[in-house]
Amino acid sequence: MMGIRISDLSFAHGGRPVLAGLRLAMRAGERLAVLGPSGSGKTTLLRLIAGLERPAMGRIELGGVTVSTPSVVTPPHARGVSMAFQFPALWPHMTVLANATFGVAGVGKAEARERAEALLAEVGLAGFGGRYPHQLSGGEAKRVALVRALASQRAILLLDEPLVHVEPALRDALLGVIRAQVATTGATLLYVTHDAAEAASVVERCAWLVDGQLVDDAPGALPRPG
Amino acid sequence: MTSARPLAAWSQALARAAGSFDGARAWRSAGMAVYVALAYGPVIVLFGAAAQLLVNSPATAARLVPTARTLPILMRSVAFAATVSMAAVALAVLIVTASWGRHGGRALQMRWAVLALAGVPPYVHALAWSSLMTLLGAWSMGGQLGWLGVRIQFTGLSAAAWVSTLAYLPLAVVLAMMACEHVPRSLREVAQLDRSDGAVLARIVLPLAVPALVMAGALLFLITILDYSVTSLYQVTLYALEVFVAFSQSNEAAAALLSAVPLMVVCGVVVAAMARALPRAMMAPDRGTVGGGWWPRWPVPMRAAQALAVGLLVAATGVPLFSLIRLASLSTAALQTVVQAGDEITYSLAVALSAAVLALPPALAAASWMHARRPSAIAWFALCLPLAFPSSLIGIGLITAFNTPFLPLHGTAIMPVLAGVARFAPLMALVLFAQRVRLDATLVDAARVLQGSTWHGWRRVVLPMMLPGVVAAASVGFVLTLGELGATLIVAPPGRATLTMRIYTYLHFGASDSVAVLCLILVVVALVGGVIAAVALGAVAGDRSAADARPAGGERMVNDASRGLAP
Repeated sequence: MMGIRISDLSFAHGGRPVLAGLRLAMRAGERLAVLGPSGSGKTTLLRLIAGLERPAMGRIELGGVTVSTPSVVTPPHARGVSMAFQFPALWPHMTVLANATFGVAGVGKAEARERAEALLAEVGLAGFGGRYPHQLSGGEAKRVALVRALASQRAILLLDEPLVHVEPALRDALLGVIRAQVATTGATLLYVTHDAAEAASVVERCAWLVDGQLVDDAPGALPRPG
Repeated sequence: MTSARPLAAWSQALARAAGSFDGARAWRSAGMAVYVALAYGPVIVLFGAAAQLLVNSPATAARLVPTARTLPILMRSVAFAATVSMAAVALAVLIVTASWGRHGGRALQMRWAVLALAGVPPYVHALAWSSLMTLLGAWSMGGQLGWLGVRIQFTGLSAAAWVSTLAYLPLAVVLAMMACEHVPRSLREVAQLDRSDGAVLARIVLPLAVPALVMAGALLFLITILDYSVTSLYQVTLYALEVFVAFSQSNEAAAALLSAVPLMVVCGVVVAAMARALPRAMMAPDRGTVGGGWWPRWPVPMRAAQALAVGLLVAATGVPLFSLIRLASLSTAALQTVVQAGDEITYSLAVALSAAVLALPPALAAASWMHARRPSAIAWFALCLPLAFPSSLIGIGLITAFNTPFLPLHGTAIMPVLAGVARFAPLMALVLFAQRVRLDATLVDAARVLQGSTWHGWRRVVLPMMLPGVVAAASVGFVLTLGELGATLIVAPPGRATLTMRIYTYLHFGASDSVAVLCLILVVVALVGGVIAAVALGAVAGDRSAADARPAGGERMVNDASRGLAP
């Protein structure tokens, strides 16, 4: 179980400031949604926490350990973080099952396979394990990417618009899978979305990313979930 | 208690260092160091020897400046290489544009097959064209065409330029195809709404392809100006041959370097132009290549020029095959020739294979290093500068470096392998970099987050996705080392010769049926290597070719609810 503490985090992309002195504190096992308009820096925030970007200023601590400063960045795989990207990003040379079990560590192959197959069944893709990404539709690929992130059962789960382009009829079911998995593993969840209602069904609290900073409320922005 | 505190602080610092240790970065840096040592080592050694010579005998500095005799040779070399490279690129652009609208799906990938022809060494083309012209000359003066009174003279600079242009045409076509791959299809489609196909080509496609075409022209220029194998057969002296002659006459490595400096300066300027164009040329388009889904209607003059260019490509392919097969069929002892050259064939294959395999790790590391750093133009320049080193100089540098008691490799069978590595590792690094930038960054990011270790992610995700590029780079290294002559002539151990050395020596005694048999063997092996590279490059471009085969934005949409997920 790991919490997240971010202090004075700044990041610029091509000279344009994206995050400016952002602060965030999440206790272990907490579930937070980050909302904001396109280009506000939501994805960048997740990439910084995952260690895929180096901050210009500030500090990121995971579980009390400093993992990112402008001078030192712990490699992504050494952070105990799992992530589902905005796009499925499935490795084309691997089967669905190989993709789903890639991040599973500390258990035997049989258990990893069992865990991934159970999750695939939960998202409606039972029997899809032997397929390759090019044999999937866009929505199916999105679900496999979600399974891959969940199956690794890391202490921190970062989900970047995991249900965008997924049909409304399926969303509730997938939200249920996410809720159940997070409850089982006790992972700290950071959920990025445009949809406040969708976020409300998974997280405990929401924050808005406005002008490069996280705020609890933003007048005139998206309606705060009830 | 007091001593425990610093100990705890140290252990925490060590733990932090271990946590932030990036194995991939360390591997890339180590590999880059090996790359620099291999690619620059021979010439650095020569610079050391030259510096010593200049200190001991300052008057030798005069050799740095071209003399009244060598300046015209240098000017001729520049003009020759510029003519050949520009002609080849112009013809290649015409051929590539002619191919648009004539393919789709799988056929789109097959266009890389032209790369298979690029591995045939230029002096083999020279033999083939000379043989054909001799045949035509006999016909025109004494045979069927005698009444025409046509005298065919196929000698001198124009003959060398003709042969070189056609010899490098397949490579130019591949480079032009890659240049056009960099133009996003969407930009062409937007322009098509307002302009004719010809105007879209002239005002949108070609300007966007210019950086990559400059790179292609620069690469062809370097290959042409540094290769004396064709011109020497036509009694034309290029500056690259002067370097070889300077060493042969004096046996002084430093003198050879000093005499090569003017040529290296010219080539360095071209590499600088190439380095400026490379960052843009290496960028992969978002989606779809410019030729995909385009059925252009070109103006009549352009169609005529395209037909001429395609005809020349057919000639560049057909003449060598026709001439070599014709000459070989005249041989009464073809089998005996092959048996006699058995050692050379085996040695050539071993050298080419070893060089390709040995050059791969440092080239891969250099490509990864460049990709990870978002390199500046200076870094690009440094990566490509070894392409400006004359092959003879690399051979001389290797002899100087390894003719020591500490590392006595001089005179051993491994020297031609090192020559191949030093010469072609930069090209292999460029092929690998081009493939690396084509990898979807999100796929690599996903692996970085989920992998168990750097090695796990690299082995399971990055390497398999780079495999086509790795195979293509290895094939390029294999084929080019197989045909390498300039450095091999100098470093080959006593009593051992490669196939190219034997062919080149025979060629100076005139085209013969025995040489044709050996050339055919070389062509077949080069074609096999070229086909492997072509298939691999086809796979590299496969993703976007598949995108081209679909209508733009035509992703398969399936009703997810129909898959049986209970809401």
